[in-house]
Amino acid sequence: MAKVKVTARFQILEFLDTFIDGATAESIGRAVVEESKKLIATGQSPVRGFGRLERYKDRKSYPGKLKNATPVNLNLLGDMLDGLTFKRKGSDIIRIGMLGGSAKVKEIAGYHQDGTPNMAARRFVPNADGEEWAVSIMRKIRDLYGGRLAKLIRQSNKKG
Amino acid sequence: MAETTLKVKKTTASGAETSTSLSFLDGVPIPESAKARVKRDVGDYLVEQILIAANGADTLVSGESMPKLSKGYLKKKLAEGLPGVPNLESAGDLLDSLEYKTTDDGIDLGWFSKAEAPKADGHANFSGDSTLPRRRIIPGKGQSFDSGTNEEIQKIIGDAVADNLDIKEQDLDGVETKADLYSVLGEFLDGLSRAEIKAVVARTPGLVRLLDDLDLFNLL
Repeated sequence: MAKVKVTARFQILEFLDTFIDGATAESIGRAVVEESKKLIATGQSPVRGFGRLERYKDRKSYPGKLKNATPVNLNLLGDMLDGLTFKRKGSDIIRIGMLGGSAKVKEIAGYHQDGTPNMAARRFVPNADGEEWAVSIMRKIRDLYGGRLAKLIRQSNKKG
Repeated sequence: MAETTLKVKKTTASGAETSTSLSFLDGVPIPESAKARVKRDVGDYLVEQILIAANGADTLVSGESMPKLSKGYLKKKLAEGLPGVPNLESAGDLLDSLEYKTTDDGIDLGWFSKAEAPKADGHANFSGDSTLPRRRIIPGKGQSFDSGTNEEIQKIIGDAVADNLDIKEQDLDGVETKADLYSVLGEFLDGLSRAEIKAVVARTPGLVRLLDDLDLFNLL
């Protein structure tokens, strides 16, 4: 079985890394995963510019007639989306992607991410040059940066 | 920074287009390149959030609702393996086709094809000719989005204004006290209180970097 990696390495803005603590970095990772799943559940790619996920060719071929025709939400048994998660490395690096789940689930995730000759790409992690998260996700990240900075300003004011 | 408002300038229901024309950049003091970015951010944000709401059989248009499906249509949707809720999803083409086009001061949001525009007007009834229950997911004349969506659009615009403030290192020469700092920042952020200035700075990475480089962050 091919080794499949579907992850994005996300670095806190370099000059902000002295301001961002581990708890904030965790919050950013959690928010990105939650918002990604919210978009996927409604048939949208969490990668900006990819829009709605392409329709299944033959949903009846899936086991147990478990697939809705729409929205295309990458959800059959839930194990692939359960594997979409994050890990923090220090306070300024967050890895987001298929970090959980079995090797088989990761393999299928790889097919969705990049597509195959028989399967449309349904991108769910930005991992190519120039790709970014959807606007709704980027807005959450900015809110979390801003919240952390506002807290530091308040703390500084109390000390002063 | 002046408060901007999102306005519906007009709606179109032509058979080839069902759309609403949204204006939100009139008089906003940022360069054209920044305006172009704001239009894309607002457009993408609205499409993403409208589709999330529609999936939950909800609408972001203030004062609108999504009436339940008729018994006959409910039965048909369930038979086709679709959720039995008014989520505007059948074949999926209608929601796949929701898009926006940028204009001088905002965006046109809606459907721009002969295949989807009539269906969209059947739900939105901008033409006044539809006999279907109204399920409007983009605002018509005199309408707006709910308060949460409007606030986020204001924040997107406010962040762009703050990102484009032309505060240079030399503007902060001689700043030694909190009063000095707020005096300078107040010249660029006209009319804002100290609390509001702090909130703007906290959300603006470029300003944080400048103040940190000059060891002025602690004066905020």
